[in-house]
Amino acid sequence: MERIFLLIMVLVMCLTSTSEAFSSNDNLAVMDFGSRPYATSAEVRTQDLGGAASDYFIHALLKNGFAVVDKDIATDRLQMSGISANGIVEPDAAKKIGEILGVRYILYGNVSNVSLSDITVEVEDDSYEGSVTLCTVKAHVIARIMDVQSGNVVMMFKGDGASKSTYVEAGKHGNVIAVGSGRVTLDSVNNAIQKATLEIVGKMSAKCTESKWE
Amino acid sequence: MMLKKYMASFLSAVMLWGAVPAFAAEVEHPSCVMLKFDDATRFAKVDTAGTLSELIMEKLVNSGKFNFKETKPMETDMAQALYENRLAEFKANKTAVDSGDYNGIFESEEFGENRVQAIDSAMVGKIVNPKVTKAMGEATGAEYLLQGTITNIGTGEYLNGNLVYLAFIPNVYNMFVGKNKGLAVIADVRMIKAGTGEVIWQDTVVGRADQYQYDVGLFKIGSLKLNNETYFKAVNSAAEKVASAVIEAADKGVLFAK
Repeated sequence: MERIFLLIMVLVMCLTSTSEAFSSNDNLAVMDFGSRPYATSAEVRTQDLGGAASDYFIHALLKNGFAVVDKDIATDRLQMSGISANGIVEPDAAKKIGEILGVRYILYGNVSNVSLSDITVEVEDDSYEGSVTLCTVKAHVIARIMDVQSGNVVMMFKGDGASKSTYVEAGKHGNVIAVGSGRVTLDSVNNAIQKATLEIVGKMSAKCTESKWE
Repeated sequence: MMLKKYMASFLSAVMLWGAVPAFAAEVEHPSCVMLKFDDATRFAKVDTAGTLSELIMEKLVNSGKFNFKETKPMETDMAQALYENRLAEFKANKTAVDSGDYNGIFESEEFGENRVQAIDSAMVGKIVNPKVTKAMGEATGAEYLLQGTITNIGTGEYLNGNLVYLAFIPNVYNMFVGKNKGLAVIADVRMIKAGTGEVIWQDTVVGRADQYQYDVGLFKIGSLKLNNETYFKAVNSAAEKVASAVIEAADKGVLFAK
């Protein structure tokens, strides 16, 4: 009888260990995010969008109670193993990352797009001219969580973030006064990326809570 | 002793109750891999294919109906893999031509009318080279390959008919005109059974995003300037349509039928 009971217990443990449900208590390592070629338009000139996204992810995950393992403590070992942890991570590389960092799940992905769009209201007459422009920097980030043991993508979310500024121009006979700026600043880009990462972490939290109650 | 037995049975039942559904869910969902789309347009360098593939996968993973494997080994797209395989076949056929024995070529599987010659034209029922699909399936442990081709990316400008119709009051027609400028992405998508190379489902989608501008007397509202955001919206719209089509086909039992 005891043997049967033991057998059942072992079976139950095996079944439980194959379950891939990711929870906020599981250790998660955040990889360096990449960016798609031509992800930014000409007016958005910034460097290392992916690095900014990774940092914002770590901040947002910790704030939301996720258990984050710092990848940077093992940078040397990752480099020595010839592992690229940038952008989309191969399942084989992910397995090694998991072993080195002692994690089952990794978060990785790309900054897909950062762009400037505007909505303008223009008035033009023979004697006067003016316009109000609402400039919006939008960032789109796609993040995945992989179970490094199976290579399965257990969660994947798109986050959108926007940072707005207003630019007003008014004048008469070519003499124009301008208030505000329509230029894309590093702050506005970072702000949009941060909002996109916050949206993704919010979705992750909701999904974890949902899974807990299912 | 009896109490111990009951306790053990109860504990086992409770643990199995919690664990089995998770296990069953895994077994239930077919394993798929999202192959990077092939871009047949002149804008291939922009990597619309990469962005579209990623957006489709995000929507399908969230549907909870598929079990997706990571895709990196498939970065060499299927069109390239098929080309390399056909190159090897041509080399083998050249040997047959040189020897004057053509039977080997005409009787080969590659010459069958069911066999797909280029992935862009692969329709339902046709067979993509099983050597290639099988290798891709084995490399990722996936049973099904989701592949697609971006066939066109283009722009167009037009008057917004609805707004013109609304301007029915005399003399208002010229004062209230709406214009759209749109960007569209057209893509073919197909599901291939990795083991056999059979195309089991195929569809064509058009994703579009528009910029608007309205002229109201002295005022101009909006902008017709297409930007990176319009492009991303069009790609996302195409991804939403592909994902909806795949989910609908899965719900109808068209996909993954044994």
